[in-house]
Amino acid sequence: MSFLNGLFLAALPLVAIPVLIHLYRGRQRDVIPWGAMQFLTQATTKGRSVQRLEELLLLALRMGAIIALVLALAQPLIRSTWWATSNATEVVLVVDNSLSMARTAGELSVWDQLNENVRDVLAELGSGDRVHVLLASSGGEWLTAEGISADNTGKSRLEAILENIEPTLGKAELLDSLQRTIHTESEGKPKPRRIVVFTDNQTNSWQLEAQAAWRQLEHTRKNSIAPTSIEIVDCSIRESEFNNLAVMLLEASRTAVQPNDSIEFSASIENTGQASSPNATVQWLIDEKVIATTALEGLQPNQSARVKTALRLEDSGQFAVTCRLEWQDQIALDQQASVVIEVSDHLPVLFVHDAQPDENTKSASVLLMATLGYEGEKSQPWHSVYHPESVTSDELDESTFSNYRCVVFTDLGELDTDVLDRLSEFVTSGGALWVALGSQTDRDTFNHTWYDEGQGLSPVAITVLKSVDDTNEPAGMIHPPSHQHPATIHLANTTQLDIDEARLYEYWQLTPSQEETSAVSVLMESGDGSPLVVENYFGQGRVLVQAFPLGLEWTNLPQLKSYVVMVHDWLDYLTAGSTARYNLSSGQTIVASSPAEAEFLTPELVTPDGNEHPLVVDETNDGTTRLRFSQTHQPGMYRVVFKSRDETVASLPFYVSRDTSESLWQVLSDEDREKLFAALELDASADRSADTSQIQTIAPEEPIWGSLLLVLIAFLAGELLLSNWLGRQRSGVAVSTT
Amino acid sequence: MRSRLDNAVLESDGLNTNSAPIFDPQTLSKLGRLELIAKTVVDGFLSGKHRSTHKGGCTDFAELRPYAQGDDLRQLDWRHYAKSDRYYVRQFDDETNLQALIVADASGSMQFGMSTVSKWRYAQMASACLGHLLLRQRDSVGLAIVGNQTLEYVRPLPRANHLARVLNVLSNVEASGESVLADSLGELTGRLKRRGLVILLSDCFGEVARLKHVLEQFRVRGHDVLILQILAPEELTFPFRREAFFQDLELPRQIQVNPNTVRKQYLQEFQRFLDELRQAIVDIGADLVTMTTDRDLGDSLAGYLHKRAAQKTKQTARARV
Repeated sequence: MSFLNGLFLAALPLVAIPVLIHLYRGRQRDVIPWGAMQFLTQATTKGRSVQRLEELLLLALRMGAIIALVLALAQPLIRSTWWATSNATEVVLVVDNSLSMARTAGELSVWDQLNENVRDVLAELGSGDRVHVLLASSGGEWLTAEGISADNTGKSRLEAILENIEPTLGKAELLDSLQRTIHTESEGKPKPRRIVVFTDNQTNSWQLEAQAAWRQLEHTRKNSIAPTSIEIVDCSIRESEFNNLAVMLLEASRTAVQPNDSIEFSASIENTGQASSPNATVQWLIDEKVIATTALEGLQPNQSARVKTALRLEDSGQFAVTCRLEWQDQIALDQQASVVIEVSDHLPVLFVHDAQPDENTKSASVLLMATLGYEGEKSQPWHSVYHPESVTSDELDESTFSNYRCVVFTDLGELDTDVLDRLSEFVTSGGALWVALGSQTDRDTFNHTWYDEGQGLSPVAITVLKSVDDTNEPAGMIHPPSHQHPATIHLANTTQLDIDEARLYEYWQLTPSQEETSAVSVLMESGDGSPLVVENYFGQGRVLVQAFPLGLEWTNLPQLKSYVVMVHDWLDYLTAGSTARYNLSSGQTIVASSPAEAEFLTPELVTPDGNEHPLVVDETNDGTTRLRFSQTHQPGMYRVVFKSRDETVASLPFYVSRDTSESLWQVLSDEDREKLFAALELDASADRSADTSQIQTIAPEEPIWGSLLLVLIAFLAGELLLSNWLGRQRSGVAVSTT
Repeated sequence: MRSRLDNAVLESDGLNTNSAPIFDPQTLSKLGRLELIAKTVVDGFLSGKHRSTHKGGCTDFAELRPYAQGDDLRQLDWRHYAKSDRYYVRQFDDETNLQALIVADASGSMQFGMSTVSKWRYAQMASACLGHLLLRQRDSVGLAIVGNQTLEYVRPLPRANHLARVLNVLSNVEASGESVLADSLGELTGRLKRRGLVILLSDCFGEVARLKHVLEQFRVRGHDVLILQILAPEELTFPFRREAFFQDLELPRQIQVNPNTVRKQYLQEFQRFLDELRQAIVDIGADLVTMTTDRDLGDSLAGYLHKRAAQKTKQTARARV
């Protein structure tokens, strides 16, 4: 028991007041010398004991009222185990089905060990218990909607369910799973909860560095109604040497290409085991067909190697390219990785120029189209994958932005609010936007609608129009861009390109807010450090804001070779956001559009474990339909399939990458175990050699001052009734309380 | 609101100061020329107002008996001889003086007196009055203080100056201690050689059966027994209202009592005691006079003496008839 205001306990001696009054009133009573005592004794013999009992009861009520008042003021907290009556327990089995649980060593298997331990725990349970199973990988997933009774039938059913579960590519998140378990309310009346965690105790599974989250867990546990116990069952294999080669990363040089374009794939392979690996073969597969193989030399422990290959894809569509190791080690699941490539004849981009273009602004669109290999609408023998369309700003009302991968404003003029809203939605859902400011740009309108105090599409406001008198001054030159940024890797090569010859005559001064000065990513800046091109992540899309137009009116840049490289690289960079939607991180939403041939078919999503799920269908403001699926916590290959009479008409692959830390075999050290115990506020003197360590948590404390106030009221009412009744009994008249 | 009784309790600290004089002329004046006559035949050495067991020259005719040789010829009833032609001798009752023993109970319970004088003081006053009354009749008066551990005894004497000694003994005794009334009375039975009058002044608290047994011994020996039961008005009505400690006057104990809860039971118990006592006194042929300390002693004694004198007159008239 603990007290929130323990200072009030100092008032407990007040309980002596009724006793003192009782004694004082006893002393204060008249003493009458009496002769006829023999008759008085006979008369009082019968009632004396009852009267004494009544007085003691009255005294006890008064003392109880004072005690209840003092305790209520002290606000005590009592552990809920004090009134826990039922023996039935709610058992939560937290099963670590992460990638590391797939480890096998000869005849030993971590997963088999886990199943055996689960069966042992199930055998101990009483028939009144109810069992829930939570899969701990990738955020946690309840295996059953409701608890299963731990009778013979229920146990058989649970064993059957668990036998069908396999380790996944996911990462174990045991802290999140514990939080989820403790947060979950009991079915019906709160019962004591027993949480049993089956895991191989990998260090990264416990997230011991997340101290705030552990404190939150402790806080939640203290506030939970039912007492909670936690047991950790260690299923790891400690005896054998760990051997493992893992494909840690697979990258493609481009993810959106034209048919027959060459794409370079690069895979990072690491020996995460404790022994040297022999030579092995790396296979490259497209949709499960081996296209190429690469030799991999043996690797020392913790050594990594990068293998590369170049592939050409002939057909249009989305393709999953997989890199797979042909070698037998202890964890088979991490021997492959995939990347999804989009092959398309053309990727439409939209160039927007002013409604009343002068010669210069019109030339901007012409220049851009020429850069991409188009002369007007006609394509040249060589042309880019980006297929340009040119419209005026007045024609934007009729344009559907979702049809384009990128929208480019050559010289931003004034836009309708409706157009701006549709642009925001387009970028939020993964579209790309390149906004070049120029003579048509109105400063106040831009700051109000595009910047909107940091909430708009632009990360910067514009302040003044800067005119450069002497273009040889730093303010009129462009500083060579950074090698680090993926959008400016080629532009930074000043030996092959001529960015140093670019001159600026005028440009808008871009000014981020004070808070965002360091946060804004600058792609290009002038010689004196003024930002010229900045980027912004808006939803799932990207926005580039450029301080000068894309034509020749304020710069000579379009006349340089660098211009062509800049347009291609930046379009690649901007549209990578749209192609990146096929290559996702865990938890990112899958967004797909129906291909033309499957527009009227019902789509379904197939998860990495082969289960089929329905997709959410969204209607956008553009009138197009989008399919969404958000439960992508499990890494692996997802496919949106369109079927007609059980025949797959189209299939769109989406790959959710895995957390590579699961390939590293790092069992909790003694120090980490101490940290874990400290995080759970437990005694660290538990037997570390035991495979199973039981951690008994402290039952939560409940406030009871409400009950105490009720008791106080009961005592006061009892005292009033009893004293009134005694008064009537002894004097024949009611006791006046005034 | 406190009753007058409660105020009296507070002011007197539970007991009255007993400042009333033991020998009050005003009380004596109320007795006037009243006499205390024994109802039974008593033995005496002097001629007096009480019938003697000896037949003598008294004027009260007793009976006729046949003449026997040696009888005084002056005693022959010539009228009866003329009627029956037989000799009869006339015999007369001899009137003698009374040997009275005033027995005063000085046990602790007699100490009680709240709104009036204490029962002991009342008994002292009554004893003094009766002693004076008896000595004025030329009767012998003795005194026995009984009821507590110390037994005081003053031999009955008919001398007028004997009253001073009786009063001296009376005034020097304080009521206290546990009541041993029956035992003390038992001791007295052996001391009275002649038949006489035994006057007991007591509240008679205690075991009625034992008291009855002892008094019966007096009656068997021919003593006339008069019991003046002295009670305080509070004992008869139990008028208390506030809860209080009742201190036993005989034993070192006190009990906490709520008067309202015990009053009914107490009065029932007390009435049962009075009824038992009255029945016991009637059974042994003694007289019981209940006196309360709030009544004037003169009035109480005078009332009883008038009543007793009336009974005596009736008895005499009945005997002559």
